[in-house]
Amino acid sequence: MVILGICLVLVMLLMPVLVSCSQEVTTSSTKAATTTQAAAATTKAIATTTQAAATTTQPAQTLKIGGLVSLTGFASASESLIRDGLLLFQQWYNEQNRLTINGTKYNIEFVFEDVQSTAEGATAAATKLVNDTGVKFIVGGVVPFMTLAAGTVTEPAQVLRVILYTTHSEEYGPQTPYTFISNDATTDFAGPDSDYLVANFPNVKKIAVLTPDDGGPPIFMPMVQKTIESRGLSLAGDYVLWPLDATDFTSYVNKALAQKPDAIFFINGWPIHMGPMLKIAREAGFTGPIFGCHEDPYDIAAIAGTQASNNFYVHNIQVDSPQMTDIIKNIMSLSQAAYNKQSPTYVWGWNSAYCLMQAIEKAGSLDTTAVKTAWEGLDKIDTVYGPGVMGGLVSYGIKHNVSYATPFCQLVDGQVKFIGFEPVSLP
Amino acid sequence: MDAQTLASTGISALMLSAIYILMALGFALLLSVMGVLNFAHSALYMVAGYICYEFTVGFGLSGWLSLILTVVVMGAFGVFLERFCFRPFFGDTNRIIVIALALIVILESLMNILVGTAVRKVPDFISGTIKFSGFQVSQQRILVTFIGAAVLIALIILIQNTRRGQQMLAVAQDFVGATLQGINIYRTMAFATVIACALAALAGSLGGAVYYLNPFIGDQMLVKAIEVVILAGIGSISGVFAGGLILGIIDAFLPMVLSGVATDATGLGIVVLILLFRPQGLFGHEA
Repeated sequence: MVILGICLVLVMLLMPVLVSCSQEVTTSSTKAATTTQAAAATTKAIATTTQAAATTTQPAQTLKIGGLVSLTGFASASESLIRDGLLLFQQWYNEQNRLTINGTKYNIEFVFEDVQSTAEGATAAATKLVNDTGVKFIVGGVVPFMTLAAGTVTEPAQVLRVILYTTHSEEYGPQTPYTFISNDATTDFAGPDSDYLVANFPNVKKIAVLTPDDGGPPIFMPMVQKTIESRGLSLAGDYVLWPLDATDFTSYVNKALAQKPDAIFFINGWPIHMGPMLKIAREAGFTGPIFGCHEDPYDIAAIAGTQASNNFYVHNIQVDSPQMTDIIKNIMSLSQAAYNKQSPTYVWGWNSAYCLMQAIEKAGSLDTTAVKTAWEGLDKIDTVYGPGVMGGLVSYGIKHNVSYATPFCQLVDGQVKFIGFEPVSLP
Repeated sequence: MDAQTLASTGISALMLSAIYILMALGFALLLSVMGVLNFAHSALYMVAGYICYEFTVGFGLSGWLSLILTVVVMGAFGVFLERFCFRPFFGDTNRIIVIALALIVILESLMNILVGTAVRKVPDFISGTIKFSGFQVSQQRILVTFIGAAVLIALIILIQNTRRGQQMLAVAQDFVGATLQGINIYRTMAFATVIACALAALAGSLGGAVYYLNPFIGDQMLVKAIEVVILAGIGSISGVFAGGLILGIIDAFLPMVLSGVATDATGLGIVVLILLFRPQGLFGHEA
């Protein structure tokens, strides 16, 4: 019995290794990725960078930048990719030798803390980064309640924070002067999506909305509704809220379908939410257009399956499209080399740090107030998606929002097809 | 609520019930037979999903063969679990809880490190939908419901009509008495653990196909399993059927009238309400 037990332990220990070594075929953008391999590759890349920096005549200082990402919990599947994207940026940026402040060269180094997909985790992680690590700049924060929680630590400490997404003005606005956003977000997509519907689906009149119950909907939904109605469309009924920790979405999708909509908007969520919802909607016989926000279409298709992954639209990139910008193509090459994988979320993470470093370079200072002032003075800013502008003064009461023509793609038989870059109006 | 919505939500309720029951049965079995609060059941559910994924996607085996192999591997792991994690601490609830919690952390961390948090999904065991009378429902969801029901019936037959099943009942009632009757209680407990792990494997594989895989997917399912077991009544295996069905119906139909996090809170509220009137659970016995 003892020998049998030992054998079984070996079997059990072997299985995860086998899992990790297998090809991840469900994600179409993936070649054969494993976190272990990726981490090893990244470590190697970082080591190379450090070595290169050491050979320069003047030793470079290290600027530590905090990374607030969920590495455990429901958000980890996507936010761990943001971390990997930031590490790719770190490698690339340090190789450029771009940052010199008062004659001193700086390499950047991201220090990550696990937000654990909870508000408490976000507060703890932010506290550790600000008080223990002593960072003055932080990248990270996607989910509203986590962003709000981290802000209670970073704002009083005047730590400049770049969040990747926002859903409403309570988590980001005049009350958070040290917070910037690196991407278009929820309310910004309602306009382009409605325009696309009007232009391509003239029979669509009523839209059902499914959105996570994370505190944001009561604030952003009036804005979304106003945008939709300005295009001659209307909501099919009350927006349907689903809990972020839900496992089964059937009832929520059924509730939306009971409104007899012509189209559906999935406003916010992650692929682990949108994939099942897309599948359920298609299995229930709904064939109309469905729109997501910015989520990874490859992961959504992997979960929903080929049959269900049709007539679905999302504001993200096709990783291998020739229409991508040069910098996106470069990121994909780097990620392929480092992680043996290509993911739109790497680009999303990269963009946040890319914008932050432009502001620091512009300020020529590591003082967060100086960087904040310099960033506020920028009217235009480069993004990985193309030329961007600073907006948000009318929408959020503060001009801290990087806005750019948003990439737009659709799922056709499980394949991601790029449609184009759509202009976004973010006054 | 129109007929299509009712049919789809009804199937969803039954499928949820089936997965809850599969999860809760294993949890309840260990609790009844060994007095073990195996919180690591959630991690077993998760690991099983990944193993099934590996058999299907990594080795290219058919879904059904992968399902069977996963059940066998996880069942075998049950022997190890009983021998090295539960038996040394038999009767010591506190230590077993710590062991179970440690197992959760170890297995989740192991998967997180080795597999990563990337989204994966066990390929569908059966794809497509069934259309009848204007309704359209997922074949896979119907299949999961039938598998859950079949396993439940098989388990009840096993417990009530086989020698090993009767031995488990005897150990559950009084292990000292069972020992005096000549029952090898350790072998019986090992058998119960094997079945519990096999049930978690079944639930994890089916859940991994219906939903998705992530190192943390078991956490929410554990809460549901505990709810079902408490609702059924501690020590009641057959009560798990009713408990799972009630919770499945609540979870499927409540979102039709409520929204968001209110559904979770109300669902738990209903469970608490039931326990107020029947503290011993639906099928439990008065202390």
